[in-house]
Amino acid sequence: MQGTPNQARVPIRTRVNLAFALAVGVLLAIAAASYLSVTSLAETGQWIGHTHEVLAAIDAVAATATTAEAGTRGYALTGEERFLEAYQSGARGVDTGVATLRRLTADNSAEQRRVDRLEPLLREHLARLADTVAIRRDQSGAAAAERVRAGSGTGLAESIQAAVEEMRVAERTLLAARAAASDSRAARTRWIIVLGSLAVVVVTAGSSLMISREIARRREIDRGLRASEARYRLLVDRNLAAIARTRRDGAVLECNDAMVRLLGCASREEVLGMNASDFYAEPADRERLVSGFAPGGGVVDREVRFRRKNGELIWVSITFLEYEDEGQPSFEAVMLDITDRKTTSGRIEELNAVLARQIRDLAAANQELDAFSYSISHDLRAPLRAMQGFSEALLEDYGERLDATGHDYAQRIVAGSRQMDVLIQDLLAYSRLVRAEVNLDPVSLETVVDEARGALELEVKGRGGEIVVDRPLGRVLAHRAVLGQIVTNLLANAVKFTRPDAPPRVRVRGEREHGRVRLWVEDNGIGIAPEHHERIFRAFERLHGMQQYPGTGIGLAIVQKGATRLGGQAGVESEPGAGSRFWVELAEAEGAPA
Amino acid sequence: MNASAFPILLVEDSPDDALLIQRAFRKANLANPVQLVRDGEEAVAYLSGKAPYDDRTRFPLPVFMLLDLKLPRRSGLEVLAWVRQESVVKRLPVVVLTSSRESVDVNRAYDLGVNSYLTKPVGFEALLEMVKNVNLYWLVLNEHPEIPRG
Repeated sequence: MQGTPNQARVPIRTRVNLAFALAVGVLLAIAAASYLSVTSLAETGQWIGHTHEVLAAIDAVAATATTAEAGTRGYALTGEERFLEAYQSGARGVDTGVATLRRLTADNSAEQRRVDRLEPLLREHLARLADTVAIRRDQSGAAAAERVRAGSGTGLAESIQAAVEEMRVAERTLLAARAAASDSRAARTRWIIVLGSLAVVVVTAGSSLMISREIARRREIDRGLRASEARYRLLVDRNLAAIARTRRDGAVLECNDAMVRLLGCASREEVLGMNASDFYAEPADRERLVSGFAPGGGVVDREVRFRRKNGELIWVSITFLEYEDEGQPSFEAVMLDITDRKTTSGRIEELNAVLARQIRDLAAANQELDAFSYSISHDLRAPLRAMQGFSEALLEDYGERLDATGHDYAQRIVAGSRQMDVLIQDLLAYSRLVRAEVNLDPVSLETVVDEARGALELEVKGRGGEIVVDRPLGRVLAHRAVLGQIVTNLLANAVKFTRPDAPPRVRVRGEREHGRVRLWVEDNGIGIAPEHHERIFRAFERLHGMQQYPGTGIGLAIVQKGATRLGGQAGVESEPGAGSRFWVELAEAEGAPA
Repeated sequence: MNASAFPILLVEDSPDDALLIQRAFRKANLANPVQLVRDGEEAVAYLSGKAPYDDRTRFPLPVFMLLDLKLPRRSGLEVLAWVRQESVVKRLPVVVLTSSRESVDVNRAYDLGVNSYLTKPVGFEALLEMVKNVNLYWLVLNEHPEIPRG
């Protein structure tokens, strides 16, 4: 669910409560405003009534003054008593009218001042009328009529009229102001009601939207929970690992089909009826596992032995998970049958032990071989040196006392010991080759061939022969010293086994093919019969007598062993009398500068 | 310093080899006497002036040492190691003369600071040739280091 951080922080309940509180507040405000407005309207109505009363009182005062004057005139003209009565009632009416006005305008100082101005005018008017009445009664009608005429010329009546009119205008102005105030208050009340209602509508609509969204969100969560629960069920039910839920006391609450298969039971019900301790080969094993949890639970991973229903013992990898369920410690366990793995790994361990022992034996044998070669190298040659050295000393120092046979014998001792020395040297070279650690680096074949050729040059030239090299020969991956020995032996071989009538002609060339380089050494010598092609590469194998071609029989063995040590091969193509073509094949040194 | 006044120390346990080498030195007409010791301990005793070699007028420090590797009591390599860490004779030129051509021996000897490594040839002529060369190189051509002969 998306939402602004603020929305997310305020719980939905609080937000709805706030909205309703706001709505109620607005409604209260409307009610208060309406109440105040109605109260004020009633008050305004009272005031308008009062103003009308004042106006009526003003009119009444004006009317009594007029009535008194009319009575006075009638009396002055006719002298009849009934006109005198009208005058008297008018004069009384003025008194009561003024008193009424004073009372009604008690709260209005401006009107009071106007009443103060009006009252003397009315008094004077009444006094004049009283004069006129007195003149008529005491003198004559003519004098009274004269008096009336003179009185109307004084302008007193106009003054009274003006004062009354002024009061009327003031009251009417007041009336208009009060009506206007009342109108504006009513208008304000209308706006409060309209806007307040709108606010209530908005707040209510907002809350309703919020609530419906919340309901939708909860429905979504519910759906997610149901889907998650369904996935969990599927995961447990279909899992190939056995899964079980148990209580501390071993009651099995739940298990899947894999669990049923693991134990070899018939149904889940059967498993649910068992105690979890019964699963174990040693029932105490479960207690150990369950009590192995640190306080606060966690995960325990072990390999234990289970006993199946048919009594068969199996190895099980068990992952125990402790958690709190309805206030009780409960366990979720996932189990895998690892019997096969256990037995296999047991066998592998056994074989490894045998292998390790054999490696130790081999290392010991190698060490003995090293000691043996070392001893040969040092000790076996010492007596040879003595034999040869002293034979020579004998010939040199006592030569004249020996006859020809004595000289020959001494010579044979020298030759025999020399031959044995060569043999020992070759054997040591071979054994060094077998044991030495060989690292492969790019080596130029031409350099190696040129070096070996240089060592043989004198001998070859002396016999009128030649060694031709077809350049370039390429570069190979090899150990420089070992390759040098191989090439030297091949060239020495080619030069050695010559026909008595033909000086040695040797050709060296290289062939590149599929990342390998084959070095050919071709001679014009005696050749080798095909049945001997394999034998000649074995140590101590010789095809010729010492007299004919002296040698130790180790040279070609060194060639083949050396080629093998360099990860290559060696071989020969030959026919008797047709010369021999020896080859050695090694990996080409790729990308190395020529 | 007259180099020919000082002996060559030959450390060799084989009487045959010792005899042949001494004969070769004789044949090569060497000016320096050859002083023979039979094993590693004798060599160390000679070089450090211990009895019976405590008389430096009779047993002066050698001009160089010919050292066999396979020796009783103390091997040639041990003698070499001792020489190189010893304050008086540490600069003594040491030439190994032995039968072994094993690279283990050769490399170890050079690691310990040998000056030259030769293998004993079979055949007297070859031995004589070698002795002549050794003489020429180590006694004539070579510049001798200073060795305190207290």
